[in-house]
Amino acid sequence: MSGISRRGFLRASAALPVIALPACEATSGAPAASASPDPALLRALAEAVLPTELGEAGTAATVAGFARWLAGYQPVAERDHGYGTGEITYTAPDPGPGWAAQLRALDLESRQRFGTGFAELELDRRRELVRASLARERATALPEPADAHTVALGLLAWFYASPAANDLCFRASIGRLTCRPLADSPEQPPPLAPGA
Amino acid sequence: VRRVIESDLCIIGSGITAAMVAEKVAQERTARIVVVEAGDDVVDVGSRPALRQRYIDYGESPWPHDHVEGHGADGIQSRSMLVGGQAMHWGGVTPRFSPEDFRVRSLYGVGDDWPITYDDLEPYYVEAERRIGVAGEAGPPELDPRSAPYPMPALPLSYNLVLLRAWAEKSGIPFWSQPSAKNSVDYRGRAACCRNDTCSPICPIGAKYSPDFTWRSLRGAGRVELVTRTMVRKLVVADVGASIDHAIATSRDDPSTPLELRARVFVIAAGYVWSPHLLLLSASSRYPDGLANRSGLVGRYMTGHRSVSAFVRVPVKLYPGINTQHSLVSKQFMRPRALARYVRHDLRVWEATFAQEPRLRDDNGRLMLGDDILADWRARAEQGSARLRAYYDVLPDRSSGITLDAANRNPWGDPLPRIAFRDSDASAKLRDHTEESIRRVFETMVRAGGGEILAVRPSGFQDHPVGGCRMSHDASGGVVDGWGRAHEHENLFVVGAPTCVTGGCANGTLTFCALALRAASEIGNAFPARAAAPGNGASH
Repeated sequence: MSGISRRGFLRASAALPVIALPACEATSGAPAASASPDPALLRALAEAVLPTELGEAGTAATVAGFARWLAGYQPVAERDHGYGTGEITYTAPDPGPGWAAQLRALDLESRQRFGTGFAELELDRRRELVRASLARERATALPEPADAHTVALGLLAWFYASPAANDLCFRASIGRLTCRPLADSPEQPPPLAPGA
Repeated sequence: VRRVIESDLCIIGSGITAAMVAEKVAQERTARIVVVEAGDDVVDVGSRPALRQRYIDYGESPWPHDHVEGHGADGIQSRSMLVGGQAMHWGGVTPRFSPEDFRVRSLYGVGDDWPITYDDLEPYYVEAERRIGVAGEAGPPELDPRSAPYPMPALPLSYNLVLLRAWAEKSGIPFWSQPSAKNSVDYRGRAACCRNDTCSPICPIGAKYSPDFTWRSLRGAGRVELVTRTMVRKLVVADVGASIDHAIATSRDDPSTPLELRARVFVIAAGYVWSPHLLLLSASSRYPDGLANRSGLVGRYMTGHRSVSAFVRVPVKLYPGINTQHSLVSKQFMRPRALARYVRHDLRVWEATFAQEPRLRDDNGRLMLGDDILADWRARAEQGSARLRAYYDVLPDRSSGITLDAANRNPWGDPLPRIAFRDSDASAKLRDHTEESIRRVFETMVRAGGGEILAVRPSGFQDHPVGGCRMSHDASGGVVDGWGRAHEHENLFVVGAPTCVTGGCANGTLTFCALALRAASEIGNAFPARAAAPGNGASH
């Protein structure tokens, strides 16, 4: 994810509530919306956007991992500043509230247009709604997860940055970013076990 | 009320070159050593796995609070300021400079020669490799001269690098495993590498050398006192003679109490910016231009190496992620004989994922979801991707370096450095020729091995910066002598990167360590030998 300065963070934070809260909730006096995405809606989204090869268990594991990642997110944490720059930057505002609101909006849209909740909607219809939500994403590359403007993009970005996705792409147990014996390094990574 | 800390040897800075000096002197000599670090202490090794995970998950700094608020400079390579310095998050890549790096004026008629030769430094390269623990294989002797084997076997080439080596060597250029300060076997109490892929910025298990291991050992044995969160702001010369009498410092925890550091010998080991910065800050009525600066060369002749990279599709199936930070290296182009026009560079090859990352839209701009993204990714990853990169040396103009910026001050009121790199005229004129020569090497490799160059990217960034207190035979040509001793102040040494005359065309840290160890051998002469010195600390 791209870093932001303190000033940028404050600007972004000031703008966040407008993005995060659907108008109907912001003005209706309804209870404050959850800051975390609804698990059932998130699962329904994952089924629509992740590869089917993951299977039920893989999709569930991905959703759980993404939810854990989101729950652990810390805004304004100092970002790695490594070599090549003297700039100190900080992590962006928590995307969770905005993403939770987007999921609720997808659900509302589903109910209004198709008469059923997003989680119960058939996959093609779910994808149609997600595509519409992503229509304004012009970038080709996946962003850093926390920089994603939409929850669908955040989930895709998080999954495709994972060692599991790398293994799935190459159909091999590469185990990027994990502790592995040095002596195995010259060997071709073994094929992924079925169902892995 | 003022506080005074007395010692025999006061080392300013606690990065990798400070660690080399402290360890060598502590092992070989009897001396009370005080090390002063402006930054915070470093977290213990047990905290590293959790910090690394947050770095992977969220991009957070794995070395929290590793800089001093308000104490930086535009254009500085890193704000890192903590116990261990920048080597807490270095990549651990440890090539040597080549013999030619020390004699570019004599051999090629460009730049300046160093006052020392490769042969002068070679024993200290060996010592540095043993102290920090380098895993490597010797290249062909004519390209990679060395007097002793590496202390550890090379990191094995990954499956990807084995294939890439076969591909690259079809060009006739020899490649070998890049030497690295990463343990291929258990070494000096640290575990062997297990390919966690985050060597830079953090090795979770300590298989990569970082100076905190040396400090832990020396502090545990009571051989050094490490004073943290303390900013040395000025060196003061004795009333009689030109020796440094004491240093003035400010504790960040007790800024209202003046702190004096008194020592027989002072070593500035604060890197390429903060070392000359301290000398400039130390101006007085007797030394109006700062210390060691009669030549006007403090902060001057700063340089580094630039690079040209290429991303290449290669006709082999690779599996990215096996050991991503390891590479192949060649010194074929570091050791030319006669040259019609000067060009020297290293050459490295890594596995890569260029143009092979998963993406949201295909080449036609179509939005992809579900299975389509994975299928698109697989199709593009059928052939492997490699990154080629050559560092080439930049020969500096005299004006290249730092000056004090009176309009920009740190929280203690001291002017901060202003950094401005500038190529010498000769070097600037060579730039296009150099970068074109490197492109031709890349093209040769692809022609021989097959594949396609997808992108070539010259970089203006000067990596591994050096200079600012360069060494010279006499005070007219530099700041320190070949041992790192200030020409004008007999008990003042500067070590590591700032003393380099040229930046070479390979990562500089091992050379900085070797220079620091060479200086330490001279520094040690001021103190009694320790009985039954345990050697160079390489036993394991």
